[in-house]
Amino acid sequence: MTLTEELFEFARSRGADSIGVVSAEAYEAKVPNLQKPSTSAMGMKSLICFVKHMLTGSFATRDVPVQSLNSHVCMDGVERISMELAEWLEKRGYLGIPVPPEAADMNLQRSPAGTLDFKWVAEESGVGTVGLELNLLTPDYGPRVYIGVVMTDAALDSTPKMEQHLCPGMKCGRCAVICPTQAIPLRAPRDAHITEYRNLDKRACASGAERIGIKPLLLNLRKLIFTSPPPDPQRVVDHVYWKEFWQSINSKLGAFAACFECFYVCPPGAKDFKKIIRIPYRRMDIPPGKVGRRHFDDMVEMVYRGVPEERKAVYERDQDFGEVLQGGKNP
Amino acid sequence: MTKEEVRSLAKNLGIDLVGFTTCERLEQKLPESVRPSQISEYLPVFMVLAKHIPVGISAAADGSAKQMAAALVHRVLEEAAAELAYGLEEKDYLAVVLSSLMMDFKGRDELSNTPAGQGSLYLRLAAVEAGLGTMGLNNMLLTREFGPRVYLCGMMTNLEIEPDEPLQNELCLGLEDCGRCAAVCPGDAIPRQSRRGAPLAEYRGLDGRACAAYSQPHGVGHSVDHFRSFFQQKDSTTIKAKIDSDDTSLLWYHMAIMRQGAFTGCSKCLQVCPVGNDYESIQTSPHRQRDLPVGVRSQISGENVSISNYREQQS
Repeated sequence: MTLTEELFEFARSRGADSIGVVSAEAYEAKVPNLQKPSTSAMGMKSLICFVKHMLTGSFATRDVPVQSLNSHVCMDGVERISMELAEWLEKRGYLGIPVPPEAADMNLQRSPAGTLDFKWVAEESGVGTVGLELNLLTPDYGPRVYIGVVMTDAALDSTPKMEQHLCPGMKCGRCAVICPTQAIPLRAPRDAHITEYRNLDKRACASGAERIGIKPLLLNLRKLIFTSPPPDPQRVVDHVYWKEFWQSINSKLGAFAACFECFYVCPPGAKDFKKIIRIPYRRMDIPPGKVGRRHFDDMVEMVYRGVPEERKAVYERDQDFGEVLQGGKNP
Repeated sequence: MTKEEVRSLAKNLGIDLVGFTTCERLEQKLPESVRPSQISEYLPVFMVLAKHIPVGISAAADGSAKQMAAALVHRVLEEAAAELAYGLEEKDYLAVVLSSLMMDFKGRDELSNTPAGQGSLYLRLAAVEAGLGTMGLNNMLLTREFGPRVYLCGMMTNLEIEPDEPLQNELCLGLEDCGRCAAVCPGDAIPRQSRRGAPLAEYRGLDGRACAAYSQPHGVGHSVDHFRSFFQQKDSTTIKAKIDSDDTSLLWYHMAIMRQGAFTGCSKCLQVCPVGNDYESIQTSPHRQRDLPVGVRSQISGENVSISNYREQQS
């Protein structure tokens, strides 16, 4: 058994669902910005990438905070496995550096960014392919995974990139038509390849997925300070937003992973999607045959649906805080 | 999987107690906003998991080290619960982990996590239904094995399993025969008076706000009060002093570092409770022997019995 095979076996035994390797040099050559291995550590030879899936049972619930908790539980598992892989390598005389999955560096790009962009490491290491909404899609669990990366100076055997893209792009488009913040492309040139038009409006996505994260905090502080006449500070402080903000720092709840709409509806996932789509909540997300398209001479466009009516309140729950900040009517 | 197989898997993961009930039963027992159906109508079995507080922690001096240790028990339990859920999934069942302390503020608030951050009120009620124990004088779950010295986590699943039955008899001795938790409570949050001979169910309770002042001293509720106080001052020097105060630093510390420990700031009631096989060991600690050195003083007045708070005893 080679070192790479032994490592893969260990990772799976510790809870990784799938795992791959890309050479650090090959990956570095493809990265157009500073999110490359050498920014964090010189001398790394391999990037080990693995995924752990979110409990499928999470999608049998209709409670977004419960789903958030379970996504963080999954991420905790990813961090633990990263550490264990680094220790495994160290015991064999190599260096292993667990790369933080959620920490952001302010100096790599104009906006906060991870030291490596994990989804591209995953695509290059053959763990999956990047879909229309820039989520990593994996054969077994579609996008319902969290990614870990460990850099090492061990020269491991690289695993091949996947030959076929898992995302059908505009032939599916289910993530785009349901996204509550319309952050995912709804149109593309006819016959274009997924790699030409996959994209994400990160700011729009963050307003749903990082509902009580840093961006909303900055926007709210801006409103609080610059709105004229100034809002009533008592009403601002008394709002449930501050309790949720406290909790988001205390537990990450709401700061990350506060929206799972694109996870719910993505069909790839040999091990979970059949189970998910049998759950009545998930069947109602986009009923069969309800994705509409308009075809133009040079363009195909999806018909936007948004989230089901009964779930709209989830994404509109902060509206009254906006009104408080604007000095709006009393609740 | 059988209950025994699930319990064996849980035990290997470090979970001490596992109780099973049905969501259907809980629907009738819980307030609407925290009923299982609000989470899922398709995961019919509700499991409550408990991990005991190591004796050493209960025997330690009160303070931040003890508070942080309680947070660690919560964290370890949540991680073990996740492993258990993944284990169930490997056997082709669906399972989802329910947090012990995190809240959807649209449905409940931080006072439901009093007393002592053992677990939310709905999780404690579910634990009673699942036969893990009974509710004590202070609305804490008492277990046969560890008394109230357990922290809780929940899980919903589609396991095909028969529910456990609630215990028939109260484990708590009640006010007349014990009352130690009420006597030691620094916030006077636990009932100290009852009708003589009254059943526990008639008088047990908790003043959540009074408890939170000690168990969540720099928790979410206090954070709102603290920020509010900035705006209630007119004098800029006073405002600046409030912003620069230790209170602000401690709020941040509890929010970011203590995490679950933000709910476990006081554990006096759970460490003096005589229920549980671990009580004798805990009482060997000099710190615990100082909790109630002269025991509990009670007074009978007509139909009623009342006990003194330890501060009154000292005075």
